[in-house]
Amino acid sequence: MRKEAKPFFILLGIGAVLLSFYQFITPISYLPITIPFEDQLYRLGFIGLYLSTFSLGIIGLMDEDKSVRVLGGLIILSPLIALIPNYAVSEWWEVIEIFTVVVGSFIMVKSVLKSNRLPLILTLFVIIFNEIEGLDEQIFHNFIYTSFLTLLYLTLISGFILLLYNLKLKRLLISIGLGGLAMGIYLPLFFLTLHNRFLEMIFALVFPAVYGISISNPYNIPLLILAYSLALFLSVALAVNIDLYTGLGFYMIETTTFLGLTGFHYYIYMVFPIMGFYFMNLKRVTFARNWNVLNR
Amino acid sequence: MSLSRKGGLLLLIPLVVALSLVLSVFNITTPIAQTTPQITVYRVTGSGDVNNPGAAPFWSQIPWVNLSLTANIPNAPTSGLTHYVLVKAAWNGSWIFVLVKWYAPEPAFGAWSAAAAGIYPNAQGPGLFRLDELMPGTKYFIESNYTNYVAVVNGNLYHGRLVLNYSGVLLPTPNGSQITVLPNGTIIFWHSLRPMEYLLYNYGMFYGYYANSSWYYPDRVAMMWYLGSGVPTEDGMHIGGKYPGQVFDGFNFTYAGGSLKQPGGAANIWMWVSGATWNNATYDPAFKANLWENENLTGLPYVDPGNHGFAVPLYTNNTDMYEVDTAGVWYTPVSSNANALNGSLYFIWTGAKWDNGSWCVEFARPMAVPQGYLPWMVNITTGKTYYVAFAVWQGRLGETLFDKSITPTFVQLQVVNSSPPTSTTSSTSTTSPSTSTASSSSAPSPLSSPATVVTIVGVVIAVIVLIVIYAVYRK
Repeated sequence: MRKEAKPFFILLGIGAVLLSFYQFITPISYLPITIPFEDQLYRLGFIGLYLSTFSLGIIGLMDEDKSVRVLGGLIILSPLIALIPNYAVSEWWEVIEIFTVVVGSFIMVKSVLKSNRLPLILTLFVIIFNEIEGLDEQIFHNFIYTSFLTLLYLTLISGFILLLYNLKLKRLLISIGLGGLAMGIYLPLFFLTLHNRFLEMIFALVFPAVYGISISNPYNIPLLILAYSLALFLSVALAVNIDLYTGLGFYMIETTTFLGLTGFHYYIYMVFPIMGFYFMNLKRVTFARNWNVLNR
Repeated sequence: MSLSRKGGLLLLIPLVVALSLVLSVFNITTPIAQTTPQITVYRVTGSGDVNNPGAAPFWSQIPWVNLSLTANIPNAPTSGLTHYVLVKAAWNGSWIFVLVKWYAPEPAFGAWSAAAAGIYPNAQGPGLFRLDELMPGTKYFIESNYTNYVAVVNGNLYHGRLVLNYSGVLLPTPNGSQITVLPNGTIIFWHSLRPMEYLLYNYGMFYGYYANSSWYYPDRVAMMWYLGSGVPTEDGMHIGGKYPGQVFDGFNFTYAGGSLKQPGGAANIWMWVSGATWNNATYDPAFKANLWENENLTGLPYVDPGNHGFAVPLYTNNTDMYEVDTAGVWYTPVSSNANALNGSLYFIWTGAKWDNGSWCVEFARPMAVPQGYLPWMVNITTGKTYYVAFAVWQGRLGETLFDKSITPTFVQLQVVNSSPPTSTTSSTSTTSPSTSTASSSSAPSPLSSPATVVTIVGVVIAVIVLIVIYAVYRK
């Protein structure tokens, strides 16, 4: 990764957070819930959609890895492609979508082998599964019923193991503390839904709409909320304890990887988890080396 | 890195921010590339045959599109009984034809649509009104402090208010509520009203609509056409009151049941109902009673000249669900302008047959709609991308109204000028003109499917690009 790309990572981080507003506001605005500043938040989310696209595209183009540059070029071009009449119904666009997933899978496999962050193979499996599931739905119109909640927890296990890659106690504790604060955004909802059937049902509408996960057993909603609380915890904790790119990448994956299940809707949702995984593997950190550091 | 390159990069930052702000301010609705659509409407010669759905020769040349369905109300265990629907579509220059097929092992023959029965005093038979089966474990008690209230339990009148209790969540019911408690403890709530269903569902007490061998609801299929701008993300509809702002038994309902969830959006719906719009005098009680040829009953100044099956034209927006005619048999009439809406109820023709465990329904409609229908009905032209969605009800198994299977999201549909891909072959033998046609398609070679070809091409190109990059990279 080039040093000059750092400011665009900041823009991407801001864009990714604002994009979450977009993801949230769009589907839940129909619910009987009053969202303060709804229009403004929606507009901010829209800005996030653009910021994410442009900054992700530029980061991709500036990367040393040529295959990442190809993906970056496609991301940058995607808003222009949208101006071509009927592009989305053409077969060449389907080819580009498949191309994206194949190249993306190659980038992800290569990056994890290079970084040696082997616990992330679990996350890699989930992302590739979801990308194929999304394409299958888009192109062949089938839906592969499976336990998406299990897949989500697999990514969390993967994240927790990675968090322990850096066992410097002070930094680990700080990361857990800050991660705990982030977790506080969703965790109260978990306790609320545990014993309140009404809220459980409200969030059974919200969470699948926001993150793309449809759970087969509606009584698992608290587990889904808990999973996203842990995802927020890990995004911050990984950013502090491992590195910022890892935290950002993990956040990008967790918030978009299941959107393929509803047909992606946006090309950016297709590339977000791929690039997120790539960012998680930008640096090479091995557990053994840090363990030795701890024992010294 | 040279200074000029660094400066150029730094300049990119405000440019990206400014571009994002400007595009957002101007609310560009399709900012980022979308993903691929699903349904292609091919140009064909000839015409569809609503008397024998799927029998027109061109249908054999068009492959089915398999769309997965999901439960509309995921918290009701009885919802979402249809897991997929098969769809294909064609147009012949002036008419569009949409063929829909789904697995329905127990067809709801003979069940009245409650709305159709409502205008026919002699109606009798299953499906006249809805019964709610409450979630197992739901209990009840009579709150005697409400001295003005009465409740009916197993046919016995009690003074007081009926209160339902599920896991400690209490739902007081309206005056005059009636329940039956089955021997196994299951509670059936009678004379279900739309707001009451909303309350039951939101209090976790709605298990499903009650059905048995003699009490069931019609089968239905609906096709929704999005009429708003931009890319819709929500194809569902609100569960709510009879009308927006309804105050029902102390509860305020912001939305009317059936109003579209997609913010700012609207949609035209084509709804076929086996107990009302199926041109089959044996199994459709409304056609048996010749209901649609009787202006006095329908309240419409016209009858269907061909007496063919039809799909009820509906219009939904964020406010309410309407019926695109002046009678309002199912929902509130969208307008009272009888001249503008002349003939609108029978504008969308349908034909249906149940055969070999599946329903097959063919919709046929002129591409262009009369000017008077335009605000509420979709006008279909070539080259334009439409967003459509489907819903299926298995009435015999207790699905009706909001208890149904729907496509999880809108799917894209486009009318193209090209001919069908002729990738399927079929042999058709007709045994009876209106009820059953045995049709079988020999499985096409997987390689002949355009989707498969596209997939292979995509993978091959990707691999070639990666090999080229690798070769350059090594040097």
